[in-house]
Amino acid sequence: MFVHEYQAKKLLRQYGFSFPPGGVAFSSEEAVSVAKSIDADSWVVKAQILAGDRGRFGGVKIAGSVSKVDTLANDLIGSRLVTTQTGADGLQVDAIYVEQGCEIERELYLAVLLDRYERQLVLLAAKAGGSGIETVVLESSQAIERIALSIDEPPNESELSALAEKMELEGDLASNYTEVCRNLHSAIVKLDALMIELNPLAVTSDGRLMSLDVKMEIDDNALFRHAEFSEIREINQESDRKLRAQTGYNYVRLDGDIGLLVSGAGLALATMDLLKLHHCEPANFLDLPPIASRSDVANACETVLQNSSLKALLVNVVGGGLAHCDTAAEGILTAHKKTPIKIPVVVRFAGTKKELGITLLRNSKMPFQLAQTMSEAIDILQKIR
Amino acid sequence: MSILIDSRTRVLCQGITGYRGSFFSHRAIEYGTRIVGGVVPGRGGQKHLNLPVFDTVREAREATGATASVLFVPPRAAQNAVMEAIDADIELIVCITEGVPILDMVRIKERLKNSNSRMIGPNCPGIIAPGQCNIGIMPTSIYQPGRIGIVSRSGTLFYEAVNQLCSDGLGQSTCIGIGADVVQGMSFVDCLKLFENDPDTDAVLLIGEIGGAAEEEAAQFLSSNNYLKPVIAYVAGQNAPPDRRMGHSGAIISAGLGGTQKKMEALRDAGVVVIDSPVEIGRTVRNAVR
Repeated sequence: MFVHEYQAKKLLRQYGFSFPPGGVAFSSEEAVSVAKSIDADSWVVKAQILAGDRGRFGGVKIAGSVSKVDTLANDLIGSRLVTTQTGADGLQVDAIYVEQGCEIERELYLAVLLDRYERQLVLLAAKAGGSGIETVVLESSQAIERIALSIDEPPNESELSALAEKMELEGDLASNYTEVCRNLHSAIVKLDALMIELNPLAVTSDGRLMSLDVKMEIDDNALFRHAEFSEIREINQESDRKLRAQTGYNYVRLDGDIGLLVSGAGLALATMDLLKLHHCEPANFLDLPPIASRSDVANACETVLQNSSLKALLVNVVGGGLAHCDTAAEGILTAHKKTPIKIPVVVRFAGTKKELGITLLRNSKMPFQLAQTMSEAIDILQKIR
Repeated sequence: MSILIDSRTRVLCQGITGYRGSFFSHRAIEYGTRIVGGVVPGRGGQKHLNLPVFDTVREAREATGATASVLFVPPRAAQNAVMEAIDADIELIVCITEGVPILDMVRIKERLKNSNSRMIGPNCPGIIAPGQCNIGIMPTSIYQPGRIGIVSRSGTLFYEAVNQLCSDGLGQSTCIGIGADVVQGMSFVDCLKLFENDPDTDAVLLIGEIGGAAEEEAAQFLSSNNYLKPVIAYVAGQNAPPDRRMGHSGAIISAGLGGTQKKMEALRDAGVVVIDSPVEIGRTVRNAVR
């Protein structure tokens, strides 16, 4: 689960991080009252979306007066913001964060995350931060420093001091920096986060170290032990729902015309690969998990069929684990009973309870074509098209 | 024969009284697997499926001589249950549990390094030596004894591959579903090493998928070692929808890794027979061992 900047800042203040004074606003009136409560000459107004690269695409603006905050808030709230990380449709801005502006001397990059490749926690640090960080790093691998962290041991002090030196920080700034590193380590472990990125981590012209932006991702698997995330979860769920239905399966809408209902992510990916190889275009990615119940399958089926550009539905289920072909058949029939399926349906069942699944479908009035193998299914689909 | 397990392997089930633990232990026993007891804290002394239940893994091991344990415990209990099995020197830990917090697995991984235990999973279908021993949730009826070793990150695609092998008259020595979580116990490389030394495995089929670096690591291992057996691989997800991104750390850390094209290239360069189409798995393996 991704966490909004304003939520992350609230969470991280408890772990000793310092951010400029600021607050979230869901309307321009709220934005004005937040701005008035902050003693400042200028304010930063930032769109709260669960994607980065906002700065370069109009999602972060500076206001020199409270009335300008009002105008900017009016412009941003309710608008859609498109950045390199949102996809072409962009994301709707439901809230903004209004923060005290500060004079920046230079920008650093600092993150702690689970390295999915080395399977350990790492600190990533660079002398140059801001939105150009990725280009900097991709152009020169020397630009990034990395320190592997043990999960239960605090980071090695001398490594952190050496890191601060490489960042060209001295005196109080250097010791503040190593403290931020320690805080990042303890926050990622205690919050079950997968990533906390401070970018930029700014050196202000009055000589302080200040995190201006935070990106944060929490491990969904660990939500059960974090009551403190329940509010965040509720707010972010709405935006999450657009990408992932909450009924126990992953659904991603794609551009093609063959609807897919497939058991398991690996087989779903393979089915998409096969369609593409035969110049058929999948209309969605969807994987039924091994514990899908009849109603999960029915919901998934309905979700797939909502897409009006479908020319056919391909059901590819290999029964195993707790997911059996009869459950899949019952789910499809439940969906069909509610809203009759009008497009051609191609069914390939294999594995546990294959015969029972086929019998259930045959005994119903729902028309379908049976394929014994994935190859046969493709042949049938090509004839339909 | 097989790797990691065989007909003599004595298996415990942690969480045997739960619905899944009970269901799959029963099925394993029917298959001929020597399930010798269960572990459920607070239920020590009881019987379940006619098997003794113990409070701790250590007691269970001492009483039954078990060397393997399969875990059907809830995610919140997984870390402690695995740690307990490691501390009791269980040689093979198979964790079926889905949804184990990732940092718990990082912690388990650190502990595994200095132990005598190997772990398969979490979020995996388990391991089977057809005709000998079945640990986990795989649909046993599709497997046939034979001489192909299989390692897969996916579950259902794994079953699909087994179906194809069997239709092509190819049985399996050992099949391992290592799972597709971010942090795992055994990797492709760990399994490749064991299959290389198994006199009853003629060739190894790897079933990978987009994301992570398991396939790249396997390619690296195979190209830097003179691997003695044919390796065939299919990598799912050439047309996967793009992942959601937020921030820059993901791109920094993954530069050049994780995509199926790169994985397939790396495997090809390492001498692996790479399959383009998921319906060609059986035929390709057949040709490779001919």
